[in-house]
Amino acid sequence: MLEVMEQTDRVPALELSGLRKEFGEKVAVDDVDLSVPQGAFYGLVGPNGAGKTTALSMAVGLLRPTAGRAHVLGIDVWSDPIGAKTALGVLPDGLALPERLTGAELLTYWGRLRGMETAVIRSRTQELMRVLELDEAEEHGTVVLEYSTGMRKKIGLATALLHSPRVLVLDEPYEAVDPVSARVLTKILRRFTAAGGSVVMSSHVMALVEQLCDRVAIIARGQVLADGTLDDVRAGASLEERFVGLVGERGLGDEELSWLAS
Amino acid sequence: MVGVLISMKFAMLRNSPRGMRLLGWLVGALLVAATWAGAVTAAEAVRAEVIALLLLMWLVGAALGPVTMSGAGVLRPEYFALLPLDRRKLAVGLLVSTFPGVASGYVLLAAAVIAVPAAAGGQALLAVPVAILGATLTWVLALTLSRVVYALLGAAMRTRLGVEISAMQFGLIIGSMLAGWIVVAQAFATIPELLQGGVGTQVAGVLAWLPSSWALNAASAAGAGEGLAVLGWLGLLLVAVVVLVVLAMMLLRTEVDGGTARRRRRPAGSRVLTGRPVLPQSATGAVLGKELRQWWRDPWRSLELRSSIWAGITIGVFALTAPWGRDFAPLAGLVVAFMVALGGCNLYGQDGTALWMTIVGRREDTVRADVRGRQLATILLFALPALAVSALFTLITGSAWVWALVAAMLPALFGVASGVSVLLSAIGVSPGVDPRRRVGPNDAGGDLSLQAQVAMWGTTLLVAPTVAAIVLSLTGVLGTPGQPPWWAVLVGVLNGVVAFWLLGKAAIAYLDRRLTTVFSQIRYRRFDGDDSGLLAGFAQASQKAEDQARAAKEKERRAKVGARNVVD
Repeated sequence: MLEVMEQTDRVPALELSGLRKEFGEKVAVDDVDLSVPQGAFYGLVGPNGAGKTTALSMAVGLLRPTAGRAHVLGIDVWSDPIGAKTALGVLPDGLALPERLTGAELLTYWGRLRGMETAVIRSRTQELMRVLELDEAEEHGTVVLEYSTGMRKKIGLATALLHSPRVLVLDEPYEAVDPVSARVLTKILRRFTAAGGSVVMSSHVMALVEQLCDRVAIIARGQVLADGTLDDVRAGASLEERFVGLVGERGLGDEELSWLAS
Repeated sequence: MVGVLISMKFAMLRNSPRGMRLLGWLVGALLVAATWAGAVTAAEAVRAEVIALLLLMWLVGAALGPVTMSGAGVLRPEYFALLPLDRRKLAVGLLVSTFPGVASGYVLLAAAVIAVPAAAGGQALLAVPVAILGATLTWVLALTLSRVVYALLGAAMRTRLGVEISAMQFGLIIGSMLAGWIVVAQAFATIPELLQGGVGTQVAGVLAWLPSSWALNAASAAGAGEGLAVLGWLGLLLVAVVVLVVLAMMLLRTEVDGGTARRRRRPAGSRVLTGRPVLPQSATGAVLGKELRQWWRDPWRSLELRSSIWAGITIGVFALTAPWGRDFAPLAGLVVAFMVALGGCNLYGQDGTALWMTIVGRREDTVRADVRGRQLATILLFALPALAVSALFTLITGSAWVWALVAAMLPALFGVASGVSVLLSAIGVSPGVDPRRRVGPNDAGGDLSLQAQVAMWGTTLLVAPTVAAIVLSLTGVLGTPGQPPWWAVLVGVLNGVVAFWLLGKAAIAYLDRRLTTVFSQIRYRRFDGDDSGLLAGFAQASQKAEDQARAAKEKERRAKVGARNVVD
């Protein structure tokens, strides 16, 4: 029994092996291997169009990979999607929601689909709405369509947390979130990892990733350029310096855009 | 600036499907020819009445035209919101850009028909110039009206009243496509009579007062030498034009006050945290609740529902116009049920990328709940209006015996149409504009022509058992002739239940295997799933049609750019 527990403990929270996606000629994700240990706060950084969202979409079962596998706590996302999705909480970036529902309606609908008890859904919804400061909008009957970008992020996060998952996959969770809410979010995520949960988040704000994550991976042009503990990857420099060093800097010549504000 | 706007408009028109444009030109030319033929061949005494009727038809046609064409070639003020342009000048430019064009030329040619009686009557030297001036003003009136209607429609999706007005227009268009032949047949039967006997004094009296007839009135006053009346009618027409132009200018200003009005009260049914749950606490109940709310609150879904009701009413009214059709007018409620197949044939496309929730939250019964919940929601929402429309026309015509037919056909139609719609929504998903960025009434889907055809013919085919039962029953092959076909009601219910179950089951089976494929089609606009099976074949065909349309457009564009480069 103990042995089994030890074994499941050693299983990575999220494991991508040889994950690949081709869109026609274009290779969006190029044989990515990543392993996120349980309890880790894992940051995925990369420039715009690096393939972060595509990789995460394949990891959570939203996009079928051309090749490779994704496992959540040892469960194959593509051969046992229901088992994997029970353990997962996901916040995708830039996708629509049922736009004409209020936040609480959305969470209630979501909880029922997740097969949760009515009383549990109700109390957790109330709590999440209050903690994420969406309760006032709910009082006015504001529907998701009328939410600001930051509010959309927060209600998306609430859907990811509602069923108390063991692994959270968050695509740009801090984008457009105000500083006060960002601190709340950080406290939630830290408490989650302290209790043994695992977080994988993508971002292109280096300072944020340095401050929060204990492990990072740098992705560019669909490939993993570096990954490991924060200190390993930084190798003495700042994450931003390391990032720019790996991805390559685009210089601005003296002649370029010289007409601007001249 | 006006020149740039006009060339931009023509550039947009060039990118609309070529076949449709050619067809439009042909139909327009025929209509102009028919208008002139009618005016020339009408009997002298009733010529003015006939022309007044024709002009009214042109005015209405011009006002609704851009709506039917999805507004190809209509420049929206939002396009220019970020440019440093004077808002008033831009509004003038946008209005003026409406005028050059083939359709606009047809309207002018049709309006010029006023010159026919003017040339034939007395004082032709005065009457003809008055007629031409009046025709020009009528032309301006018609085109400005059309721009106002289109601008109102653009703003329409923001208010309930606006949605209702667009729904009436769509209902009229759909109703005309399905049953316009009744009116046309009736009209053809009465055209010779109309050309000889006119429209009747009462109708003629009403027609004469409508703005479409004012130029005609002015010309005939000129023919009779009544100078004051000429000035009066032309002045009235001018005032109408000015009022419309001012209205158009107000509507064509770029919107900077924020599109949606601030919410004044909570939406109905939104007290989920404090209220008592009405629907079952299951996954299917959750989907049903979500769907009912989306149908009720989303203007684009509302538009489908409301235009279905108006299509039913339109066809009922058409039936009233033909003596043989009158008795069947209460069947109009069936049209509302039939429209479930059309209005609901792109449910997943309408929801857009929100499908991620179904995928990420997926459990054993999620797909089944999603499909069944959607089916039940459409039936619940459309059933009451269908019954109401049938009841309305029963009250008007008094032909209560038709209710046996309604009772047999409604369950069959609802079962079949709810199944056809959800199955087509899955296999023929056509993503429109992202839900958050929708503006115009046609933004909620892409190219749905294939889906609409399959929905119509599929539904018709699958209710055949019930239709057959009714026919056998009424003709007395099985049952007593003249008796209400009550046993056919049983067939209808069975037909509906079986179709609801089987078609839904097919949709569930399809989505069970290809939920992520459907999501990819919405998100990445490509079919990357398993391509085995009949339904996947259809899905690929519909995706191929969308891809081909896009590729063809791209090719045409490239060819044009190439040709231009050669010329340069």
